Amino acid sequence: MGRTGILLETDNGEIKESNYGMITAARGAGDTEMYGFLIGGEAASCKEAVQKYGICRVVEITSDAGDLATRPEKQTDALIAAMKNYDIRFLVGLSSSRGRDLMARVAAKLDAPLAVDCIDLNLEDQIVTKSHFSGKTLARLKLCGDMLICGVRPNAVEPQEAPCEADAEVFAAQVKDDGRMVVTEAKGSAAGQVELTEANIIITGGRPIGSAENFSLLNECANLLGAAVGASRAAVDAGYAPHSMQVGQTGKTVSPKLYIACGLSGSVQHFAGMKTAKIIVAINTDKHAPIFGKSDYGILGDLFEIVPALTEALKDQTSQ
Amino acid sequence: MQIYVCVKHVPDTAANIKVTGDAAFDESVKFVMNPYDEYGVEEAIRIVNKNGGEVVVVTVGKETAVNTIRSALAMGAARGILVKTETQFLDSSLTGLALQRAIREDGAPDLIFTGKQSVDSEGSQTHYRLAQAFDMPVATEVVALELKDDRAVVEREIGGGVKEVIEMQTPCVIGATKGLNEPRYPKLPDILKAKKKEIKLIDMADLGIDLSAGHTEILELESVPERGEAKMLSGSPREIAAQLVTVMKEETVI
Amino acid sequence: MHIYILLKSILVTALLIAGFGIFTIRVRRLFRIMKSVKGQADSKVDRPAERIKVLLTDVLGQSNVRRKRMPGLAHTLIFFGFLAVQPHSVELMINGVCPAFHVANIVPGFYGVYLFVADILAFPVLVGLGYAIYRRVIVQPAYLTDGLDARLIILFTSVIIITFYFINAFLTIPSIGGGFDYARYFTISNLVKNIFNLGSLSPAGSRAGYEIAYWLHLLTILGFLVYIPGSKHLHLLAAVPNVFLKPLDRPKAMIKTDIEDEDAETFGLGNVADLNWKNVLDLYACTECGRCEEQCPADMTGKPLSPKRLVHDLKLDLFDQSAKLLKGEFASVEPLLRDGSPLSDDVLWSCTTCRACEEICPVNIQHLDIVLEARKHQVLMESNFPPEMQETFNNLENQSNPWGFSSDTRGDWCKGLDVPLITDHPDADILYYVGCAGSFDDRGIRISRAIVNVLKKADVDFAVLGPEERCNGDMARRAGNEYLAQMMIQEKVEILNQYKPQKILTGCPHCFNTFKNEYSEFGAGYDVVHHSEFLLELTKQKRLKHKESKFEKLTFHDSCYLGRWNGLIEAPRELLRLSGLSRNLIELNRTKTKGLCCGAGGGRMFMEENIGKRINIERAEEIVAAKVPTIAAACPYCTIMLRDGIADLNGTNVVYDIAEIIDMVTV
Repeated sequence: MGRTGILLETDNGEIKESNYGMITAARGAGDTEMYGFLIGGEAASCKEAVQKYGICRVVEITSDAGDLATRPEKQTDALIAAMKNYDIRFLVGLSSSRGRDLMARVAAKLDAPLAVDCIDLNLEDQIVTKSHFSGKTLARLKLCGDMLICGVRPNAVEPQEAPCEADAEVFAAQVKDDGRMVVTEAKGSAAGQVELTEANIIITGGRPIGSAENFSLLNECANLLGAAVGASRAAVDAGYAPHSMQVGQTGKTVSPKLYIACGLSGSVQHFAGMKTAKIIVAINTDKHAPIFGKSDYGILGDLFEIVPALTEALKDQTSQ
Repeated sequence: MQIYVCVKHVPDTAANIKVTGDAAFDESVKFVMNPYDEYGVEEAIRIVNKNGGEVVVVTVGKETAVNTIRSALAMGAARGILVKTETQFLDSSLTGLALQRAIREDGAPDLIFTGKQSVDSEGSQTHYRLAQAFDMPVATEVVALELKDDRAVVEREIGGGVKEVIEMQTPCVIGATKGLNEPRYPKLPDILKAKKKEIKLIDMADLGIDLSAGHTEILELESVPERGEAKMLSGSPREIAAQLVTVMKEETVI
Repeated sequence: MHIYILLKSILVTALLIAGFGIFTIRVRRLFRIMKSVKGQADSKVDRPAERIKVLLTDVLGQSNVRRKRMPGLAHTLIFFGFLAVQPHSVELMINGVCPAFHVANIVPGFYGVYLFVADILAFPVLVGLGYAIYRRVIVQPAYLTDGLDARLIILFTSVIIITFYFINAFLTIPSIGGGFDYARYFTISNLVKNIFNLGSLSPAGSRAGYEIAYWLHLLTILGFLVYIPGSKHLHLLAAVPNVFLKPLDRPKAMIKTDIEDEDAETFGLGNVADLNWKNVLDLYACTECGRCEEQCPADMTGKPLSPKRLVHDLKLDLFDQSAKLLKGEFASVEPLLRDGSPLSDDVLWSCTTCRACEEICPVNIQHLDIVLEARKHQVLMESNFPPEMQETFNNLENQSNPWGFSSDTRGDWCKGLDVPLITDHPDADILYYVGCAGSFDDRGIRISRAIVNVLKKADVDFAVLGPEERCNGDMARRAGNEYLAQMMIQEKVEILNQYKPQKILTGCPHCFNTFKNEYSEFGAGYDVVHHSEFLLELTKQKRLKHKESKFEKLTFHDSCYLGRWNGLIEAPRELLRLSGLSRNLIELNRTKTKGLCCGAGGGRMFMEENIGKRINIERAEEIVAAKVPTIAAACPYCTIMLRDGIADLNGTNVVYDIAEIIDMVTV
């Protein structure tokens, strides 16, 4: 079939969990050799994690011309050089903000087809499945050509182990930097916050939360679950949460395993951002709230009673 | 300044999409300007209002896309260019190339805006291909922009509350997203004036583009089924919480 | 003495010329300002007989003023007393110029009777003025302006009456009154003479007294005359024409702006030059009585909008810029909403268009004509409106409903109810127009389903438009977006004209109002009925079978667009009574034409309410305090607002639409 290159993403040097599902999706029937590419991060320390899923070689891409992280165009050239060097036919990565950006640059430069946010891959037949119309339909796309690039939606595919022994090596790319594009700084705190679009569990607060301070109720529960906290558009508009927390049509699209909606009525706009969640639990005091017609489990209650009760139950759980 | 804004005529996100055949859908629904493109149009107009120049809006689409161009003209763009296609969906590399050639034929861009993605095909890549064709730097998911002499300083959201600050040489391509600005609601005199502004119609063939050279083809569209009624959990908050934890364990979430 | 009389004659002549002259100049200027404004008014003098009758009942009969009992009574006394005194003052003026002139010499009998009447009627003026002072000094209601203007007017009027009595008292002295037996006809003036012992004055003393009273009287009248055109007492001149020209019918349409006019430089009311002469007459007619402010739901809940202050501030703005208007320098007229002006965005947008102000105004000022035209300007020309409305406008434009639900799903509310579509049944007797709230809002859908139940019980032949139904544009229009509204109306008109319904039944007073009063101007004038009056018809025709109701006390909340806008006040009550609920029906304090708005009108349902107290809470408090378990409403927005208000107060009262109630008491 041809060699597949996996664009691995790290967080503070560690491989992000969401990579594993993506690797599984790329592996497909398992007839392809998979090489993992790391830009920023050590091949040697990462190979343990990824070889469990079938990656047989981890390549750390470096460049002598300085830090690739702040030079998107150089990063692109370096990755392309690695792809050429290792004879990569398919490049698969996470459809995260960084992943989409890098893959699009590579696709544009190589004039290769690109599909992002895929929830299913069939590299052998060169067919992918992704959302069209903001989650209202799924589209099956055929990608033609010798080289394909695909971004997989985080948590869309269940990771499956396929252990093998991987080598680790370093590839030093010979790339020039014309300096026309530089990342000069990263603002804001990333510490401890689980990224919404990659989270496995998400708890979202709606307008009934009533204040920015009350989000601490959700944060406490989220911490115990390792979950991310989101906000509805109404909560963001009311000033209770920043826009970066907004889930929905005009916010982030998420695909967690579990989505707990606290005080959300279930508007079409919100649903567009999370309808692919595997399980939706809705907590609302209004028995006529539309969300009860669109979720898997419903709780007719006050979030200010239910969420703390859940937090307590989880605490008991972990202490057992 | 000569600013080009690339827009797309797409179905309103509120509309129900009815799949009517393998890869076709009922196009009688309401179409609007791609919401992300609005931020691009607004930003371009603000820049030109401050620094002088003109905003030209470009789109690749069916003839009905003229309506979206008119919306941009009502917001303050000076002229429009429509590259005509037969279908709603077109391979991104062909779109990118068509946009680049139409713009190049028209003038010399100082800045190009697009939306970060379209809400129908959600490809998120046309602006990269456009930038590649122009050999310009590109940044997407831009929420803030400051223009300096020969550079654009943008902020882009990468998630987890983190924003990257990027400096790019101009001319460059910027993929706008929510947060960059608040798009204006057009005033009536501007809406009336927009009806008279120029819209140039171009055929793909005029741009020398081979439509068969695309890489991507939609094989099938499938409606996503709606969820049914929820299973209600009842009892005291403590009892409900316990039930929830059980559900979570069963679904191997915890 | 003769020299004095001669000098007096010259002086009085000069003063009369000067006084009336200045008065005329000032009034003429007011006229010129009225003619200088660019706006078009569609005020016509139609149905003249009716209008004359209005003058007799409202002005002469003071019926409108007397709607507020005590102040109304006081005003009536002042009105008649003051009128009665005028002829006497005119005689005095002529007599001052021409000392030989005495009406007593011409028609002594008639004169005597007149004096008797005038003398008696003048006293209650002082009583009335005393009451006015009492209200301003002791009671001090917030809505009553107590400024220099008000006090000067009270002062002037009092002096005129008091000097009238003193003059009369002196006239009873033969050396001053001449041959006519004044004392015979006076009652109070005689009292004055006796109390102040004016008879004991020497001839020179009484002559001096008389002349002093005379001059004081004359100067005060002339001073008042000159003062009137610049004060709120201008209503003396403007009120009568304003009442004469008032709209004779209660229902009215918003002004249809010609948005296709390519030459139009502006739309709506952007500055005082855009007013029309009728607006200006409205401003002149205002007496600053404050009754509109007292009724206004925005003012009573702490918003900066007071209809009285709006009129006053606009009048001041008009006068401040009148020089520019008179010179035709329209380009330099400053905008209504500008830095330092008391007219702010919040003043304009706080209005719920409930018409309580117009309803209560004793001089028939059309406040809404100003507010709604000003909104049009802000939206169409400035794109200046509450930011949350942008999404609503886009939703209306794209999916024909304010929430942006897919217009495809507009017919889904009746799933499972077997409701015929008009495409399948074009000859239906009734086209039931459901409306946006009735189609998409959960609470509204329950009301629509109840209406359908009742229609089926009565075996009514009806159909709905289903997914073809479109919003009628009312909310967009009230929120000032005339362009969007007209686009929506045109679309709707085409659909209606395609089906040509025999009768349109609406579930919502806003839909009812716009179809009935505004759509004919756009080419679709059909017979329209609101569901409360239609259900009443069905009940009267005995097409519904009633059963025992389980309701206890019950009250009806009047919707503004049903009651004040269209006069449908008794019909819903009669419907409840004929449905077996007459024993249960009570009235809230603020009811019928004085009913309090729920706060949703004027597009406010879709705006944030951040200032002061929420209007729906104000109404809910009244409901909760009245301890009435059930409230009947006839509008989905009222139902939603009242339900939310009561819920916020943790009240247990339940709001039902009248159709739901009828559904519950019929089989």
